[in-house]
Amino acid sequence: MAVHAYTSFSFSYLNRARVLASTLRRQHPDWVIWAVLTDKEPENFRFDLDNEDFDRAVTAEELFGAETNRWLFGHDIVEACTAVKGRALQHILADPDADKVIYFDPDIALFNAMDPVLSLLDDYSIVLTPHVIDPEPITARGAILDNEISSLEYGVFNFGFFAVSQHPEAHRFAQWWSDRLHDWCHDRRDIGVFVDQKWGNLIPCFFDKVYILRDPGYNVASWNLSQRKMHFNADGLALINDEPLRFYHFTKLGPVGDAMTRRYAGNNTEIYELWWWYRQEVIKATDPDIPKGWWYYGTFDNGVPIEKHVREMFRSREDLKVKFDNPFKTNLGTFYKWLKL
Amino acid sequence: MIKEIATRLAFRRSGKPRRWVIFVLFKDGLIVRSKFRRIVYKKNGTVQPRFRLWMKQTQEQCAADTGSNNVDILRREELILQSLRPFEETSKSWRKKRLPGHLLDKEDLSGHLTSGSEVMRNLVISISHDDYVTVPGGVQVCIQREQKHAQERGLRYLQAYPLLPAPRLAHVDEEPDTLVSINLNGKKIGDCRMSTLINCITPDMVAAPVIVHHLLGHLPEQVMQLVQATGKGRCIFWLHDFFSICPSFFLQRNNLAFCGGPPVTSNACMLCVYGEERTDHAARIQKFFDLCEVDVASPSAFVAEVWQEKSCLQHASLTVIPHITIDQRPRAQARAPIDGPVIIAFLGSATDHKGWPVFASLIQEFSSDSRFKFVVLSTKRPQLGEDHWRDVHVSAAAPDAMSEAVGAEKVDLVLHWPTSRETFSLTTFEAIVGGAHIITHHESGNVARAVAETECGVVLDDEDDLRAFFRNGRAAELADQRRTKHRSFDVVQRHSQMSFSLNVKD
Repeated sequence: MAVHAYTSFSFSYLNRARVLASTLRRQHPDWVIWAVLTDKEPENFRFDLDNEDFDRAVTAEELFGAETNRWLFGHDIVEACTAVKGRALQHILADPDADKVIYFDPDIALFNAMDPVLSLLDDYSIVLTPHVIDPEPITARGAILDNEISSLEYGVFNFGFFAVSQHPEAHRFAQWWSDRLHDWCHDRRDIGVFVDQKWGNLIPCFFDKVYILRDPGYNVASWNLSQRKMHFNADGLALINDEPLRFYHFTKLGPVGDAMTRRYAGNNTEIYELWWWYRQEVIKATDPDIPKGWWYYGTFDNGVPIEKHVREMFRSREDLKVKFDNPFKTNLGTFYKWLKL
Repeated sequence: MIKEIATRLAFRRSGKPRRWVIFVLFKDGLIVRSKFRRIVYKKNGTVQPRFRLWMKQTQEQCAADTGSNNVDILRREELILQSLRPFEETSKSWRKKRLPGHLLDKEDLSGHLTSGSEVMRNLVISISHDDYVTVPGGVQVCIQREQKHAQERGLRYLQAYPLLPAPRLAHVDEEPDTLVSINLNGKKIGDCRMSTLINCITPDMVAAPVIVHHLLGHLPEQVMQLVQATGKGRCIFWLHDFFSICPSFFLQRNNLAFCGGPPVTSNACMLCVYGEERTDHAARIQKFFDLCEVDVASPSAFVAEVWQEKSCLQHASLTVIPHITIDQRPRAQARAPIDGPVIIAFLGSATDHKGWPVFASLIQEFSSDSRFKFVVLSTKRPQLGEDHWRDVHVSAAAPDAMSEAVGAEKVDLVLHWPTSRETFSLTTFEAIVGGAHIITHHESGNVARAVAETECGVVLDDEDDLRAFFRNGRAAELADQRRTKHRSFDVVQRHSQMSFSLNVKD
């Protein structure tokens, strides 16, 4: 029996996923690490597990079979890579070797062992981390908007991380979540849905043995930095509010992430050091043979980008799904030609 | 002279860059154009002192003009991180392609080390990171003194330093046989391969153990061979900094903060730009200490304590040899009382790590305050608004030049505000010998300790405390105390004999 960890990504995020995998491997050499890929390799690049820290890979095609193309066509890249997480969880839980299963977003890096979570999974079926665990002061209107109100809008729990055990309740959760993500993993905040994450609000209502982990060392990110301070102790251990830093969620690497980090990290220089390190690691893990912004399912097979409104129209029309088995194709009698009429 | 004219053309007397400089080097008035980054930033990523204060003020002004707290003001730490490069990249940029025209071979070098067919058993070999004869600096002055003591004992002092400087130990895969420059009794005799020097040395030539002042740029494996060639199997190893613990020799994590040398497997090392290099570095230093019998010399108890706690390197002995010890003796006749404004000085090069930006900010805030006068005693004139500058060169020939200048300028208070922990700080002792008191902070290593032991100065919490110290009259009080003390006390200094202070047997 082993702990299985997985992450879901397209090849344009392989660099980040590699950083996650190497930090996971450093902390937990015995874990089985999965890559869930909603993508196909670009020309000149081969994803070879022998050269990666990943042990196993599973693709969206393997998870969704014949319906893959018409189902994926209805999703943009973020929706697609999150929608597969439910089915992937069921797939991994079905492995009798998988004692505990933990999901991490590819833009996470581990700094200390996850042993306390493994202990929690001995008693609980599901472990979740909220975006925020401390209220903002009444006068901090900006922080209330950025951190608390956005938690209400995007989901109370951050689904960059969750952990489950082989408890029947975890299987019940996996089935329900997989079903919902199959049909409703979209950025539809107008109807109260935000990809996989908003569904998480219902988990404590539907399932037993759910543990809400309110340790500041887990899932540290720009949305909770206003209440978390990082420093090193004399032994060089990274601490967040005096608790060991377990993992940091490097959301939005680039100017947007920088701006949010600066807004809330303030003078906490150690956070900027963390980001500096992460940037260097991502650069090192970047494969030049993967074109920037690559996503196999991002275009029709003639290279024309698929616009969001086209995806939305396709997924909302059952008649189109029946008529066009592979909407990515562009030859005669295809959805592409139908669009052009 | 040309440099001075260029400086005047580029900078105003107040130290601010002239408008044409700003136009050429910066876009949007503040962002450094990439092709000029090497002018504005130093190799270690920090902003050159000339631009630091002006850049900071300009950023703050931007914030004030917009009336918003959301305008990003880059702090010193962020500027350092912005310019921080992977250590491997930094090391590559240090590598020079130029090779020397002529290298001494064994015969050439032997010709310098022997007198005809006669073997002279009077050689002392020292290893360090640069040419102590031409490079200014506290450690270099101490090595000059060591050479003098060697010669006074009838010994010949041979120094080997890397011809191609490096920010780390040499790597065998890049240079399996390092190029070294050789000084004999302070005179350069040429360049050679380290193996040539090792092959030249025989036990009957050498009078004392090899003295290792620094291993930067050397292969410790070759230095070990050199030690073995002397037939003594032991060496004296100086802790001028913490290089034996980490390539970040001031133990500055990411050039930002004192890390204290945590375990190499720690989060701090994983996240530090020096962390990756440190693993191999530590193993090689460990091997050196394992295979040589090492007598460790530390310039201060502070360094000895940190080193013993953090290094775990096996050694034959550890001795604290302060470069200077001082004694304060009552005078038979009191000096005349001193009046006038409080004179605050900065000693030495205007570098960030010695606290120049903090001194510059004090000038900026208090230069119009008639209670204070700001002076700089150094080899180069900073021209950043100081009231007075005095050219001071410390060398073996003029070892007391700085303390004499402090006395002559009637300096009351010397600001020593380092960004890292000082392992000794000659200027601190020179200031005290000159009759001044020191202003420093708690994290200044041996500076704070020297202030506490001599009761000559004040140790403050941080820069806010420093400003308050000047504003609320405490600075003037400290200056009064020092003037009173100076009237009735003499400060007598005694220099160490460096490695010759150690009673090391052959």
